[in-house]
Amino acid sequence: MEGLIAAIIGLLTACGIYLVLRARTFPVVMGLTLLSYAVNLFLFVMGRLNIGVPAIIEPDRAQYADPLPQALVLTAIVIGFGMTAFVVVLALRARADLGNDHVDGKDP
Amino acid sequence: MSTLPAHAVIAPVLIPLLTGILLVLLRGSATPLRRTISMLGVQALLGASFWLLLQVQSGEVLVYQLGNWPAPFGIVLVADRLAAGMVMLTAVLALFAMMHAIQGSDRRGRQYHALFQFQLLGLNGAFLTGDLFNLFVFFEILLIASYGLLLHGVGAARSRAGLHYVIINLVGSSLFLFAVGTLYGLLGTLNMADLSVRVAALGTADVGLVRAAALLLFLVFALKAALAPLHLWLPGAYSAAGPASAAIFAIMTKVGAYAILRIETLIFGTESGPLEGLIEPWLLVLGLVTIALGTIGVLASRRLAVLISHLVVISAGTILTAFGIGGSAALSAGLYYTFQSTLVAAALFMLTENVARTRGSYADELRAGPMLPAANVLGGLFLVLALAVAGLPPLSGFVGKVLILESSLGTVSAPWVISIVLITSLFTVMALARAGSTLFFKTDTHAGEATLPNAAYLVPVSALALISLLFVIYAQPIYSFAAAATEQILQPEAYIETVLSAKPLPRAGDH
Amino acid sequence: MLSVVGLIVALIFVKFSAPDLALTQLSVEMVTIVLLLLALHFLPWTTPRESSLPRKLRDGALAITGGGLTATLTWAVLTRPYESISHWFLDNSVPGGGGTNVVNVILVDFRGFDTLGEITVLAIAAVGIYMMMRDLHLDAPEADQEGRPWSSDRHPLILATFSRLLLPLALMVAVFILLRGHNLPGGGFIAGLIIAVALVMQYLANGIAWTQPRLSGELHPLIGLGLLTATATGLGSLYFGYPFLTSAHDHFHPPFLGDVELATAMLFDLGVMMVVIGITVVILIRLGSISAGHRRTLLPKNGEPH
Repeated sequence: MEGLIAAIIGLLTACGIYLVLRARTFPVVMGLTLLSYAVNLFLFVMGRLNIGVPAIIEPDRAQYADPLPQALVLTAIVIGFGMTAFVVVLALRARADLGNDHVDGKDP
Repeated sequence: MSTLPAHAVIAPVLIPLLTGILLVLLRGSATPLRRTISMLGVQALLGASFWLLLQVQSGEVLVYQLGNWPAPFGIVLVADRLAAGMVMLTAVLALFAMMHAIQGSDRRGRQYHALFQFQLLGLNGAFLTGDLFNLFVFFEILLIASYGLLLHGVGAARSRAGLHYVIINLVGSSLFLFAVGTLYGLLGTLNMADLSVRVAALGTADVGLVRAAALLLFLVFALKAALAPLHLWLPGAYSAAGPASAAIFAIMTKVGAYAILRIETLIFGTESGPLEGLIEPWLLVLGLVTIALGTIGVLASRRLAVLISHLVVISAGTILTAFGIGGSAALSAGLYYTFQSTLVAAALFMLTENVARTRGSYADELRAGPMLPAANVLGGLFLVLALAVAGLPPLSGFVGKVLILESSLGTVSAPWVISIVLITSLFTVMALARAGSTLFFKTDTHAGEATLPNAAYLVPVSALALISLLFVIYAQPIYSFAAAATEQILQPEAYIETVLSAKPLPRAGDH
Repeated sequence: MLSVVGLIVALIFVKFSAPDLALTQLSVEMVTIVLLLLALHFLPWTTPRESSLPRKLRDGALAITGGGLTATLTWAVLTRPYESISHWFLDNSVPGGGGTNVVNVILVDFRGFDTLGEITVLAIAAVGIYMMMRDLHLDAPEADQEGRPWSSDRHPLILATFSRLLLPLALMVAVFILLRGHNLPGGGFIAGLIIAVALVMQYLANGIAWTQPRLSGELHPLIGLGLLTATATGLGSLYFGYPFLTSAHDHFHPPFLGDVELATAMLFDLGVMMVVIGITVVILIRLGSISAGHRRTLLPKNGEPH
């Protein structure tokens, strides 16, 4: 299971990096989103993989998932949401100002 | 903890936060009201920072447990001499930047003041926090505020520079989270003092992974600190930002430098065994490369704002070179240089705006333009600041550079450091002299009359130039403060002990 | 494509015992997709010219290296033994924070300062976005590639009716999720997104022209107020001589409701919710009205279902 998760995170990162290196803003935004998925997943699994033991206190249960990484990921998701929204609007703004959607502002 | 002085540590964070919220709520109100509120906020911040500085002056480490939870479980703010000194620097810079901004550059958008306050919040939080993930959060706050300030009064160049800046920093944030995640996954904690303890007790099997995480972390900070080859975003972003915003950005590269210094001495310090001195050699080499590349940028600049942005790159390189040399003398010199170079760079950005306004359509382009009405005053200020930034006697940059060069004596790298710093200083002086003579003394006969600047424009710049002089006159006490701060961070045991042993207050309603 | 990936990530969260994360991921996903679709509307139609082959190869190599390194790092860390500070959170959540959902208690109490920072980031983003959208003029295409005009049809009646019924229902669900967040999966952020989505639904279903007069698009003050609520909750503890953000919780016995446990952390969560509603609605509706602004001139009164 560890190997599978590692492969998923690696794949997400690779796709993210490739898209971020594109010239147009929309793929770049998609790339950033994929990268943030990869990061969130990575941060989350740093609490190790636990199946069926959510961190909600119940009597008669000894094992719980590590709650701290989950809290960190929640914070990271929200911050990522704000950043994504900002970048999307910035991309629109750049399109309005520069007349095209290239990251460098000029057609190749 | 129940007395007021105990809250000194959080005051520099809360004051800009509350001022910022107030400004968001009052977004429709008249400009004078918003200026007054913002200015009052900055003044209160200055008072609070000074108060904090006085309290840590004795060498005491102040710990503030947010939510009354003990470290390493809750988040703590920690103030030692270094942190308080940086907060004080921010407040001083903020005061002058605000004085400059309320003379008109804040009119470009209604949100300038709110964003300015949030920027201060991010800076102070980053300096004071004792928790790695919380540092990430404050980095994001200061970054998103800086995106906003950068785009203030949007234009084509700003949109482009902004897009680059935002994307690069978002990738940087992802790397930061990878690094934090790895450290947590291996060491199981986020508090910096606790991390230090656990790194010291690290088994050999994990050393490689922790080293990878540490390098990732330093990569992120190097990006913020504009260390070569990660400095390329800076000139575009700063020169497009509009000088009023760039003045406050002058301290942003210092946040990166501060984070490098803090992590290097606290977590990967003398106790960390095989991980000790992980990045000093890299810092030294890359710092020198940064200085060289910055100088080339200075020589190639065609606009004053771009030139000064490259000067910021050079000063970042100089600071990190000093940190790379290592040892208490070099670190103290680096800190002294940090304090003075931040203020001088900010003053130069403000002066750029003054000059650009006076020259009208010629703006800050380095070509002959209209005759300047107060050429002597503007030119004189430029001369003082240029001397200070280039490191010529008798101004503060000279003292800083000499201290750094002196500290390198006796190390293997001394010939390299001395020759590169001296040669680049020479080129910088040449470039500045050329820029100065073009701007202030060459006149294009076809250009019309330049409009006289309002004398009040020059007050913040002059005040900062004066402070640069004070840095020479009071070099001794300032340097001894830097030395005391260095001594404190080089012996992190007291810091770690204070953070981890602080007890929360007993709760009234404990069940 | 993206939403599928997002869904998979959410499912992984569910599988590995993180219901809070899954809920958040899903609701964020929804809003992000709407945002991206709106944005896509303004970007050019033409297929992007392909980058040159060497560049693609170079980028591909970089991507594979990066991905490989990350995968190795993940695998290496996951196979190491592990001991963290988390047992303390599990032990102290009920006695110290007054909630059984440890993740939520960490967010609003143990590490509430992070959350305050996080909603500050949201608020700043909203301020910045608002700034960028003033005087933003974009030429949205009025017809698609085959020349069919966009959205000339009336808003579907069933959707319109249902969405209006849905609004109070969504509000109720949101309040429920907000309140139970302390003990079961939920919380202010998710509740905020649910309300925001319900409000945006009104626009989708009924059109700008119908909704605008009934619901002021100026939810901007909500952002400031929410941030103020959260900060003021934290400041309250200063008054009692405790550090910033110290929480208190107690049991109350109001008539008819039985035993109710209230924590100041819930007030903090309420602040979070307000900021989230504010920012989401401001962004989506602003972006939406840019396109609607000039379409209205094209198709007058067509947005009215009645």
